Amino acid sequence: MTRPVYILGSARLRPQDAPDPDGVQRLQGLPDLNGIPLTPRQKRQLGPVSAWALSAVKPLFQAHPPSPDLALIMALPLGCLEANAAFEATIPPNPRLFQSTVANTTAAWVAIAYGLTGPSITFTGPHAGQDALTEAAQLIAEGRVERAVAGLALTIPKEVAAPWSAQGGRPMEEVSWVLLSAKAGPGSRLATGARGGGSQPLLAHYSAPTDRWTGCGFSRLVPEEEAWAATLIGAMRPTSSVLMAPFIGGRSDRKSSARSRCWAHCRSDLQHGRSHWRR
Amino acid sequence: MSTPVAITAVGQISCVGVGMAALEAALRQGSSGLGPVNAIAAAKGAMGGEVPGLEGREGDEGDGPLPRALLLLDQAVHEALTALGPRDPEADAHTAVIVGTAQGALPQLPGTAAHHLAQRHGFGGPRRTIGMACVSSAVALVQGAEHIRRGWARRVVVAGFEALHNMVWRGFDAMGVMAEGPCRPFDARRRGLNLGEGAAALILEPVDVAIGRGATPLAIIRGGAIACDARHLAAPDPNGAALATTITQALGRSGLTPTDVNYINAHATATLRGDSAEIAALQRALGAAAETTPISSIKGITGHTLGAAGALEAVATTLALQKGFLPPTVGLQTPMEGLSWDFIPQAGRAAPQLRRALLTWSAFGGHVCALVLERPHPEAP
Repeated sequence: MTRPVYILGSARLRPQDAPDPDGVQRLQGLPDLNGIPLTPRQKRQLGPVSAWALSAVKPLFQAHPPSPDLALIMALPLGCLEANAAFEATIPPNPRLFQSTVANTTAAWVAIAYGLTGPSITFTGPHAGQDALTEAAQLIAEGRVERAVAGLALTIPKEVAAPWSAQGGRPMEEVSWVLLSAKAGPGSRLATGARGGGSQPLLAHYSAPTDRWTGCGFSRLVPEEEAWAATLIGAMRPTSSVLMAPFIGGRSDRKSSARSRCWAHCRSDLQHGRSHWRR
Repeated sequence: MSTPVAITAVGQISCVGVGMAALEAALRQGSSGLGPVNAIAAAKGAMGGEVPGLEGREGDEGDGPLPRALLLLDQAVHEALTALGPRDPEADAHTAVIVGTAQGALPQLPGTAAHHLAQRHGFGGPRRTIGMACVSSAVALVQGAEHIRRGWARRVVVAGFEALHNMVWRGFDAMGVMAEGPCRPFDARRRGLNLGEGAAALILEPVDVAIGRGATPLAIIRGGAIACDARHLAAPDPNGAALATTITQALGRSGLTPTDVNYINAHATATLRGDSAEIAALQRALGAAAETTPISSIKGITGHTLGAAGALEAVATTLALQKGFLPPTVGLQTPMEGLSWDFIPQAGRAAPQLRRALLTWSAFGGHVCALVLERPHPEAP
């Protein structure tokens, strides 16, 4: 079953100010938690990533109130590094802070605030934004859910920022949300790929190589029908190269070889309008 | 999941030992791998599931010292790939890697494990990392099956891994959910969990592809579901509503009813709230069948391996389906709340007719997952 996927709306918080001394463009000020349906005590428990995510999603959910079965697919590229550091700094260990040291904490808070009991997945790592977006679209395309929200929350701890900036990266914090639906609504846009056929072409586009590729991820931005996806993808592109570099070490040649094979298939699929990865 | 997905190879490393033979022996005999933990300072020799012999080990390709967690991951995947047989470059190019872990390869950045595996083994397919606490690799398994069903990959390597870590140990200790002695899943006197470490890997393929290349599927993934109880970060819903819904969805996607299930591999970490909530969920979802279906938790054997638990328990259940036996609930003496369920206490039990198993998991954040595995029918596909 393959259905069209529509974009009902999106929300985004990105910094406008110049980079700080660590070279990071940071979200400024404090997240606006007024109107978030959590108790004051719950709001005090929120870590920075979750607070920013809730702040960003509020207008989107005010415009499109979520139903409990909404799929909530999150991307936390850096996982919960800040929460880990916050917990480790406490003596004696604070059990409440420990509860936030898992990457799905942000999705949990959004679910708790808005009563979302539907499918929920949290991806981490350089691909996380792509993974969240494609999974959300796919759940709708194949009829699993009627609506899905894909979210990306990226705050950047100092210890990550330093090597990132040192390698010429431009780390930027960001929170983005995209609300997808099986049905069109006022102002909605069709999100499926230019060649039709549900989300498969969309996915293929995501996996396509371009000269802007710098890491292990993806970077192809198809203007028009996928411009919305740039909110998620844009934050991922610089993340990919720098986060992987120290880890990959000297094995880049082998990686390049495997990647080239994979992308050769992908490019061929795109040229011939085939679905990527399809046998 | 209408397209049958086969599990064609598995591997594991845990406190019971390295390899599937070690796990099978422990499950059949009910021999626990729990003991004093010396690998991390925070444990101070307390009870847990430590994998011995990891200190000072290096990767096998001149990587230099690898994090403890990646050593575990590499070992489990190595066993699964070895069991898979000769490598096929064409299949490798379309092999996806989906990894689940709670804290990953600390202190490395999260989300790098899938790439680590893909690079090491030359896999060219999609890579995903799931970070969902104790359901991480369970969700990875559901995602892996979806990748096959959607045609996104010809083969999927699913893995879960977790190493003992000072931060995690201190956190659970601060929460007061650690048992002083061996854990007692489903027991009236249960007092908490024992942390463990390990990794498990499963190779997924379409059933027809597996049989076409002459492989014998070990088990079939029939259906899975994921949800959130949207209630509390760390306390499960005592009514088990979300987990119950997830079980019902998993059974529905499998085309099965509660009475079709022959065995339940439960999450049951031996915490007061967690085990009660899981029992409530099973009662709600399965009704009378919950009381008569054999059920066990292997946490008394392996400890709670957090992000690895999903994959490790799926591997254990695959083994049970393949070999026809029921893993036991080690540590159980007096069933909780006066339940007269078949908890398979202390030692494994032969079950040659075992056909279908339900697996359940719960995590911080209220995230829950259920999965149905089936022994391949002799006339498959």
